[in-house]
Amino acid sequence: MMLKQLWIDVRVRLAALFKRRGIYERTNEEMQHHLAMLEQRLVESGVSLDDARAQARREFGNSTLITEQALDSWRYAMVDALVQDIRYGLRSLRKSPGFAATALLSLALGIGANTAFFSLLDAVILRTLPVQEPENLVFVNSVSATGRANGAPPYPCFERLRDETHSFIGIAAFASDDLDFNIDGRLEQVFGQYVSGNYFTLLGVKPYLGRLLTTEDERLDPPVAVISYGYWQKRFGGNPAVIGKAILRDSRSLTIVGVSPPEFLGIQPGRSMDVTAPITLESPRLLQDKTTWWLNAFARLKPGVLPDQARAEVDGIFQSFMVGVGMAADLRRTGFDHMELRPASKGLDDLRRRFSKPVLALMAIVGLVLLIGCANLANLFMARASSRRKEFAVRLAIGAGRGRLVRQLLTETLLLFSAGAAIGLFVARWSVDFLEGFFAVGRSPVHIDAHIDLRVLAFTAAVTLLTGILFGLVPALSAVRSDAYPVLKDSESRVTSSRGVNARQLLVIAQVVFSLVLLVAAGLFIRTLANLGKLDAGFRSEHVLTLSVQPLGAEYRGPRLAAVWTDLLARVRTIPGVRSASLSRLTPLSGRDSSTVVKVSGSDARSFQEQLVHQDDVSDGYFETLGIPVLRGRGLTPADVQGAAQVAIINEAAVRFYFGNRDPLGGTLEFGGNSGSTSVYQIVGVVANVKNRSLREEAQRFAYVPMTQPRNRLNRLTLSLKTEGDPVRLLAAVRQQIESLGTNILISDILTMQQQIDAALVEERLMSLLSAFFGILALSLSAIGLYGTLSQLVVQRTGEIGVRIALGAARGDVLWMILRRSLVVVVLGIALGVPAALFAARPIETLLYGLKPTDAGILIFAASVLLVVALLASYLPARRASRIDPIVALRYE
Amino acid sequence: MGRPQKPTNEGMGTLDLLILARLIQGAMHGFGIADSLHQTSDLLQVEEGSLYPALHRLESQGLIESEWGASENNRRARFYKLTPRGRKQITVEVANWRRMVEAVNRVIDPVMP
Repeated sequence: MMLKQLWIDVRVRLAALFKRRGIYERTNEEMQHHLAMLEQRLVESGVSLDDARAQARREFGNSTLITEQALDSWRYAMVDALVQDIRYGLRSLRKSPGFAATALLSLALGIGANTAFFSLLDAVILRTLPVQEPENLVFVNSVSATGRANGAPPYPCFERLRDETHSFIGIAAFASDDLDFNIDGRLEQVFGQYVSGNYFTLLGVKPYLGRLLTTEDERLDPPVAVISYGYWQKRFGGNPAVIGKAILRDSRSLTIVGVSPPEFLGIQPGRSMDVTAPITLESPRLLQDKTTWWLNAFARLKPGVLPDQARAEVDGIFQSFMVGVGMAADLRRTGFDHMELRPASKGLDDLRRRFSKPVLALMAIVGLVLLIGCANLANLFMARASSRRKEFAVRLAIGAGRGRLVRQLLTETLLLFSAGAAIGLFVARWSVDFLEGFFAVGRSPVHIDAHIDLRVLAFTAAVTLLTGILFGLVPALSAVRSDAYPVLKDSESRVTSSRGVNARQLLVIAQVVFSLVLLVAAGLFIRTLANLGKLDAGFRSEHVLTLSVQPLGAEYRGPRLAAVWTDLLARVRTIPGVRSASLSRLTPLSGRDSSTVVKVSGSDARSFQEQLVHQDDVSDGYFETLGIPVLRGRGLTPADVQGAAQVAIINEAAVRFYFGNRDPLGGTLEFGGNSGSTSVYQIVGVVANVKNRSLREEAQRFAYVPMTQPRNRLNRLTLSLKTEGDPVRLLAAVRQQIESLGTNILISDILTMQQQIDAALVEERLMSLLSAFFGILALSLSAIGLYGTLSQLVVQRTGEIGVRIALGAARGDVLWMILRRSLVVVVLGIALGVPAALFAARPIETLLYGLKPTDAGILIFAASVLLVVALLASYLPARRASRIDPIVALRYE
Repeated sequence: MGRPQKPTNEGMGTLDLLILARLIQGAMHGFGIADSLHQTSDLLQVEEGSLYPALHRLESQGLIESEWGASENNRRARFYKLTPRGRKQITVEVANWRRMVEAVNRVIDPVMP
């Protein structure tokens, strides 16, 4: 029965919507029929045909008008109701601008923040690569015995995989790094990658301009390169004449043959590739090397081939390759144990690994903020609904349908929500820019491609509709549920339906709970950042600038190189304002690292893992420049030159590991490998531990040797300067000194130590800043909610309070009566909020540093802040209640 | 049941009531409805044409539905019949109408002999 009626309704509406002409014609035909029948009857009763026609028309009436009216009745049913609702909604919102403004603001912020963070979430976690059928792509990795991925095996093994496997449509290799190019006579560093020739075709990426690489290009006849759309725009201003242009790499000329499409940024989310060139440009030594892991590889599975089959095939080849390499068994277990295939649809997972948790935590935070804002709205709607009860009752009594009233209220709600979402999109746009800027700092800035696209808009629309209907429907239903009769009979002031108030109190309790959770989260993140900031990183960052220097010309090969470095250091040290300067292969938090195997005298460390130390080649003055304390023995001096006794400095962690309580001074380090004359170095000093890769890491074992007695090639060193005042002011002078040494010296990565610390703390700074912002927002929204509820309550109970005061209640009692009410709600909220906060804090434990998620101090602080703010928000309405003039109140009654 | 049936927005006009009442007896085309209204009572004089806007309105409200059919003399005519909702509505409306007539009578009877 119901269904049938529904079907009729739908059919009628659709017919009306799509067949207006049909209705017009139908009406005409009906009228013709009617007239014909009238005529026929008149003729049968003896009237002449002509007279009958005239009389029929007279009796029938004005047919044009009738058609018009018939059409009108359809038009009315179709759109008029909606238009009426919207117009009425706008009018009633205009009548309470404060309400509308508050609602709009919290919605715009809530929806905007959710949209922005969803786009971030999309960019970091959800989005797949813009390539053909990304779901069929797999990374081909060698992994440790425990399954930790370690990239693809060396190039000779890759070649075997490429030639011998049958499970794949193809397998491609790529390796990315900072590459230097000479473009138009200027040395520049770009982010580049070497790839196998089938890289683009296997991905199914089409050129934006020119052509992309092919396997033919691996023959380097002639050598070619492809640039990215972003780099093309940035460096060449989008000039199509770039095709055919030659750029120099290591005195070899590469011809640019094409531009990759704008949406394709490489398969390493967070980094955008500038230049892509054939892998065969790498040095032949590296390409033949069987022990260096420097590649990544991905493959496209043939249709119908199971990943397990493919894995077995790949592993077989890998195992046979490894037999020929002869790697120690314990070393193999650490990353070279067997092969695995991992889904590659989203690209390399560096970005996801690093930012998934923070981004998810932020998404949860903004979700809660939106809920708090919506609870406010629901509260305001209910308050409004209850003050409009009389209006509704009257409308119900004179025959308005309940459904129509609910629809009217929903229309009003959705109007607000849509307007909020529209403004929210601007908020989101702005937030996305802010977020992208936040990540793009440091030596290898993270490019998060968080744009607002259709998916994001769909998300916003879904959130808007869902919250709008949810938070609009409940108050609307409760507003029209009640019978009209008692409302009309009673005067308004006594209509304090206990039900409505309780629902509102529940909302406030929920707000308090959520706010407490957010405040605790904010406290935890702020303390984490503070803890990391206070942390002794082992070095002093103040007034320290570092820059990477690479003498690239052929004239710097061989013995000339060492002289360049000595010269450079001497010249830079003469610059006024430079307190000390040094050169080193690594600097703390630079993202670069290097380790080697070492035998330590008197130590029984045997396994590869135990013998591994981080190792740096540094100039004299290094420890002074970076403020690394020398704890025992001595640092390096200008006297530690080539030919002098070979000396080394180790850090505390290395002392504790290899020497325990023994005296390390006088002990020796014997480095593995086969470079240099003698590889034995005497330990002459001990320095403090320095955080090298991240501020959170445990102290790593470090060994420093003089760069005059180097363990490594010194083709790229970092110059560190400690200056009086702001080091950036000396940059021009430093540059000038370096350039005076000769041409073709590339200077890059100019960063202060503080910038590098900031970059290392991106997640923590983001979390503490945003959680604090949203915590305060949540707190204010809750305060507004509480204030609104209590104000409403005071208005509703004006009569009652008037009577109380008239009967002698003290003003203080009245004040306390109202305050007590809010106190109960807030205390209840806090009581529920504490376990909720503890529960919510557990998954973010790994994001914290130096404190437990159950930190009592933060819980107490958050609860006290909440309590104080709640009392302040309640005080105003309570004071208003206590000042009610009984005479006015009772007369009002 | 204390809860009243859902009334329409406009309240039901007399003509609508008459049309619905006529259709209880079965499907009928516009001319037939007008005719039967005339025949039943000369008091209920409607301009023939004004029937159609009313029919369309009732249909757009989902109280009646219509389809083409052949009339007695084999002409093509639009036939109207009640929908389930219309059937429910007419009982409510008739009851309301009766109550109102009764109420009016109670007022009139004592004073008008």
